[in-house]
Amino acid sequence: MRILGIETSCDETGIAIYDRERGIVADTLYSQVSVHERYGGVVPELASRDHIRKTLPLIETTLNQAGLKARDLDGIAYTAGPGLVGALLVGALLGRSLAYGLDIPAIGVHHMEGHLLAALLEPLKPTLPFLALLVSGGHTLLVEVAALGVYRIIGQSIDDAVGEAFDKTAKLLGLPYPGGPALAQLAERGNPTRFHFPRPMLLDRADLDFSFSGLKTHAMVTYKGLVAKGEDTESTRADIAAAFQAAAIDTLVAKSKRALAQTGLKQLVVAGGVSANQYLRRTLEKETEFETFFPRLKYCTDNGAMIAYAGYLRLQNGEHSELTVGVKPRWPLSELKSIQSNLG
Amino acid sequence: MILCLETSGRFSSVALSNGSHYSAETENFQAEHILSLIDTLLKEAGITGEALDALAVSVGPGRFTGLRVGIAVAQGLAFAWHKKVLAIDSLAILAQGVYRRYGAEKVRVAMDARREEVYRESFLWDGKIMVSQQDLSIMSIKEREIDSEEWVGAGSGFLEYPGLAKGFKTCYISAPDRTPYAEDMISLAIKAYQDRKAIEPARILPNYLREEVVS
Repeated sequence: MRILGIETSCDETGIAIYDRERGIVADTLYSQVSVHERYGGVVPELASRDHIRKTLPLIETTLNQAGLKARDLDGIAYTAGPGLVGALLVGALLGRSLAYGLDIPAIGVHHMEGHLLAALLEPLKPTLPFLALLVSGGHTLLVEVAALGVYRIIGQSIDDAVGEAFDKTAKLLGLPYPGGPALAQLAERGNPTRFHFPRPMLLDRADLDFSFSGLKTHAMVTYKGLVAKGEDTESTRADIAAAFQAAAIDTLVAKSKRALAQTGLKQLVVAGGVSANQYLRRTLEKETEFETFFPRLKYCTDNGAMIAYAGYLRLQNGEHSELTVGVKPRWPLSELKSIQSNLG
Repeated sequence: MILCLETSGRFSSVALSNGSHYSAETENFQAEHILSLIDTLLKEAGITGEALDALAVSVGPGRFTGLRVGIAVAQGLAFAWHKKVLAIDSLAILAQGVYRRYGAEKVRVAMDARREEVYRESFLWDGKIMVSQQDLSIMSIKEREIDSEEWVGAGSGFLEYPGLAKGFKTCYISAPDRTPYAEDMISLAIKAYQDRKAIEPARILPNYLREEVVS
């Protein structure tokens, strides 16, 4: 059984093919970063324009990579939400039409379910149940994964997503878009103890929610104060980046540990773009009370492989989408049905 | 046989070159029903996608999201069926409808492009189809007036910006005159097919006309 996965929910076009016997057999990605760079953020209309240009050519490339023809496919999975509506529509309609033309089933996949299950594509994978920390430019979530399709959000950001706070702080320090990774690089050269930034909502609240907008403001006030004193040097900026990163990541780690303690789970899966953060990886690797799993980097950020895999599980579960194609820019994870099938 | 798809306006519509056609009003401009319409059309005609000669799709100008919906569907189907695709000008489709309803042979189309601009193009009847006078452009309504002598006007631009209608004896602005329909693509698609204009599905892209989308 071979499933084509199509991901177009934001600023990356990802296409992959999952084979039940062999796993991911082909995987391609086109990133639009250079398109949005000059605007300092994703421009939805430009994202849609790039998706319609790239999706079908990438599908052709991916099939060629796998040495397959379209008629060798048994199903098509596309991201149906959450995400940018115009971007989602391109992948959803192309995928649904291709499936109709090939007379095979199609399924609309929840983007976050893709991220949650991406760790299962790895040879060293967690067993169910596990706790997932999803951290990206759009999300900061702690999710209890009780079983396939059974997700409970137990913690989330009440304002900015952690990746968004990284990007905005990076912009403040004059780093190029997308700033998050650049900020993390700068932080590696800084002294994280010169400035102490508050750990938001850690001590004053016992729950598992996050808040990063205050931290971003704290970085801004600190930086502007130093600029006013004529201390705007490369090393000062690196120290601010390091203090910001330490505060943000320490908070993620502390809340994840709190969630593990509350749920009694012993495995943590970290996914989303921020899971590439080296400080986060180093900190979690030191932990001995629980095991941490990171999908490989290309499956941490948006990709077609996770959509192909989640779609495979859903199709195998007997689900499929109708001819009337709908996308869901907002789509709570809790609306998903459980998946009865065994892990393939 | 050619399958025609039109999703650039408020209705999504489909037609086969044998003359059968369907349309449905789109919700939120998303054209959710287009595949169901295609399925009904093909089943009624008793033909499979593989038996088609080509597909035709309206590539604009028009609503950006709608154009991409139609093109994504045309690309997906054509790729699955190993067919080529014909790109059809949405304003020509509108002009074709004006000829069908009123017999008008000299039509200037102006479609509302918002921001006080219109997509505009002129068409002359050549005995078989409405032929573009190769003047498709996006025009500010402040820039100039559209020459009205001997021509009729048609399209949402004349409704939205009544100043444009100055000088025209007749302007067609009723609901059908503001929407391109797939049934009016048929003769345009047949002509384009005869002229060997069909191309690989991945090469079909929207004709937005407006490139600056960030204000």
